Amino acid sequence: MSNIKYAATVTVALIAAGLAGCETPGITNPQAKLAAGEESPGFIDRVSSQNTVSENDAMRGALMLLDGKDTDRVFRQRVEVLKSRGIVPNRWRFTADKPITRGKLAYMIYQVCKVPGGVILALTGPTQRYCLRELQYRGFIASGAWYTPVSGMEFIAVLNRADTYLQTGEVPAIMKTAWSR
Amino acid sequence: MLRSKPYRCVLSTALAIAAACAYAAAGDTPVAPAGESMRVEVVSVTGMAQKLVVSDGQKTWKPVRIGDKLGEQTVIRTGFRSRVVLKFADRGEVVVRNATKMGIGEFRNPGGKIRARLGLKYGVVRASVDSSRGPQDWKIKTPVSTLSIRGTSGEIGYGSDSGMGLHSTSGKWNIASGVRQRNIRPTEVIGTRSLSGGAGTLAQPIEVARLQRELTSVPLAQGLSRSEKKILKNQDSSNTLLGPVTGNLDRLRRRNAVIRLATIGAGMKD
Repeated sequence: MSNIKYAATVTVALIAAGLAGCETPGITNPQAKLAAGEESPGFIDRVSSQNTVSENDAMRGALMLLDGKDTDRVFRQRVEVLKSRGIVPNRWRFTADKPITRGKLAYMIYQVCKVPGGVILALTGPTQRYCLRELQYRGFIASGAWYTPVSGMEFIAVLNRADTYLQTGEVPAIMKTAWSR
Repeated sequence: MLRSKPYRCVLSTALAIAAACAYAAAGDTPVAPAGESMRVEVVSVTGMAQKLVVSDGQKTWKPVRIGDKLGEQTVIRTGFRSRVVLKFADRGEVVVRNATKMGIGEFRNPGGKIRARLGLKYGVVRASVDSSRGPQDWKIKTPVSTLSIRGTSGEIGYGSDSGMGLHSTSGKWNIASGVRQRNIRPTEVIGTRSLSGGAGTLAQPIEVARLQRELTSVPLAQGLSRSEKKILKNQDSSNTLLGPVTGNLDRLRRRNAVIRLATIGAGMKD
């Protein structure tokens, strides 16, 4: 009987943790800076040669997609701006120099582009897992697990598709990822 | 590793861009052989676009403006919501789309035949060539293939996760990757996946490049039964999943063969 109670307690705790969001909110290295006055052509070119893309760079990319420029000076400002605009949720933990994952990138692109989601997204709201699946289905991003990092070239390819989607409402066939063609 | 075609293509593109930068370092304006080199005119700029300028040995990116005359070995990059239209004399027009980096390798007129060589590192360009004006030889090189335009128009894109994509609007195109070639029909849309075929097709090296890129991210269990997925999950992925697997797993073996082919082709193992 005690085993059943223990199992029930653990299950309830897991569900509660899931509902509340497993990640502890907070910003690590909030004063991290990027080159001031960087314009989008230079940003795209710089990031394209990186093996991974930091969260700081990814936030700059999202802001450039939204406004065409990033005037924020430090990482904290970028996070706050994106939080206030609903692009990133409050419950995430943000680390300036940590590589951005596919899940986080997909969540941000999904919110920036306001992509119409499927049934699960409509019922539960955006989550990293289902935003990624939706964007994979639509050819924005290649297949892969939500917790894996994104390379620089892949990051700019996703931004390119998102930018085109914002202008035309679709991702052209020649730009879609190989798996969605 | 460098023996594989995809790596050679990437390496040759990188060398071409490095050569372009070194060439441009010789002076403010790239100098071309007398009587042959022609200029490319910027006829329209939307958003932010930059060109690589070298002065006093310092490489700087300067904004591209309408009316600019660009010489050979010029590199252009565009930002979000941007577009640049380049006019290649009276022979053709190239539209550089958003978030794109491309270079003008060559644009000259040797013996009355226009010769143009463009490089696309990432992004999308739209090319229109007017063959009625005379003979010409246009090629656009991406990290995985070279496209020849034969009096036509179309859109070419390259992304690391999508590979090369081509939408032939009209006329004839030819795509070459290594020794393999294929002609593209008008209004045909092709991409990495649609190029895939059996052994000996043009797409093989491109397909290998795709598999190589996605070796760590491809859902290996796609299309397999539950028990097959379980076996896959328990295997060491570095072993290319061959050997210890037993039972009726034909689909798994076929997939393994493809993955192993890609791995060997890329020079990563064996």
